[in-house]
Amino acid sequence: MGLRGRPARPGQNVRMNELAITVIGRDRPGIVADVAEVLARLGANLTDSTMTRLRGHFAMTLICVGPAAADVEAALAPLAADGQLLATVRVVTPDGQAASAGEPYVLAVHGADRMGIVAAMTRVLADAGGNVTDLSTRLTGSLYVVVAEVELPPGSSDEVAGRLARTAAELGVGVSLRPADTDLL
Amino acid sequence: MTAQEYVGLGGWTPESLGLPGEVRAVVSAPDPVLRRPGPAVDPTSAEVVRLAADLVATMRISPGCVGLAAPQVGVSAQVFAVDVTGHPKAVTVHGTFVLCNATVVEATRWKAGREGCMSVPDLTGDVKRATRLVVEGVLPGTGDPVRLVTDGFEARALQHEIDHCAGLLFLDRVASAHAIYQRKVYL
Repeated sequence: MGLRGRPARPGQNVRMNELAITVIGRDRPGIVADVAEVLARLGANLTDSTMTRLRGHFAMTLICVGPAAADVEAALAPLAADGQLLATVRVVTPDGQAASAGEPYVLAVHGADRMGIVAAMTRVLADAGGNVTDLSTRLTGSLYVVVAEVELPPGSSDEVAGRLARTAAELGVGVSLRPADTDLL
Repeated sequence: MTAQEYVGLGGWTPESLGLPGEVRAVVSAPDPVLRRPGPAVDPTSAEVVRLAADLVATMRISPGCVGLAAPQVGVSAQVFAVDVTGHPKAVTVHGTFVLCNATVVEATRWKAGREGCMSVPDLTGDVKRATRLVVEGVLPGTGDPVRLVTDGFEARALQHEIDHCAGLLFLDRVASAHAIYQRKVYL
């Protein structure tokens, strides 16, 4: 079952704010249910979200449409009262879907953990006009793994791959850049 | 297994190496040897024959291990052992074998599947691999050329090991930012 809250009824006197909400705290059963219930009760429509466990902390990042930010903040406050959860709410400007002219690639980096791997590799992408659309990292033992989805300016991938390889060599890590699988079924 | 596919190995077994094989220590990422492309080897050299026997011995004592490549025992070389016998996802099975200097010559019908690796013990990942595969290489000891036609899980194992020999891990081929997973440990 989905997590979508009840949308505001047409004609209802609710300003259709777009809100960016983050919730993070020590993982326990029921965090998603608690937060989603609050949003549903306020008539907030949960649109895009990611929710995941990061080293024992549960992190939710979500966009929802509906009530005023202050109402959501107030309704989430009791959940944060015990100091175990941190929630933030802010109004964002709906931009619509940004049209992408980039070519989708998957970047994988792995090697011995050290300071600055993500900073250095993503700087190479940014300098080339690449846009990271999704990224996750894992530290397991001394192995650090970064996997990022990135949109690159058309025709730039060979040059970017070369720059990534040079930066990776300086960091002593391995890197690969492959076209993302875009098969449509 | 068809007769034609069995001919691929020409009756080769690990026993034809004439050595019992010793268990070697398996290295884990981020050991740099795992990122180094291995050189082609002389399959008839005593060193490679010993390595082949040791890969089989190490693979056999490792629970759930269906393949082991030379870089995983710290040797940068194009040699690997595979054995998917009894694996529930295996279709074609060539038993236990070792290949040197193997290359993929045909790869079709790509399918995503979850992979793990003894050298990346805490993670698994979704990787797209060909489920129909033709591989050419040479056998350790005799140096005889072989052409293996396989599919399914054995094809996945072969591609994983050939990647190791080229200095690649499954991490280099994961499908997306959310396609790596912490391996579940049930105590």
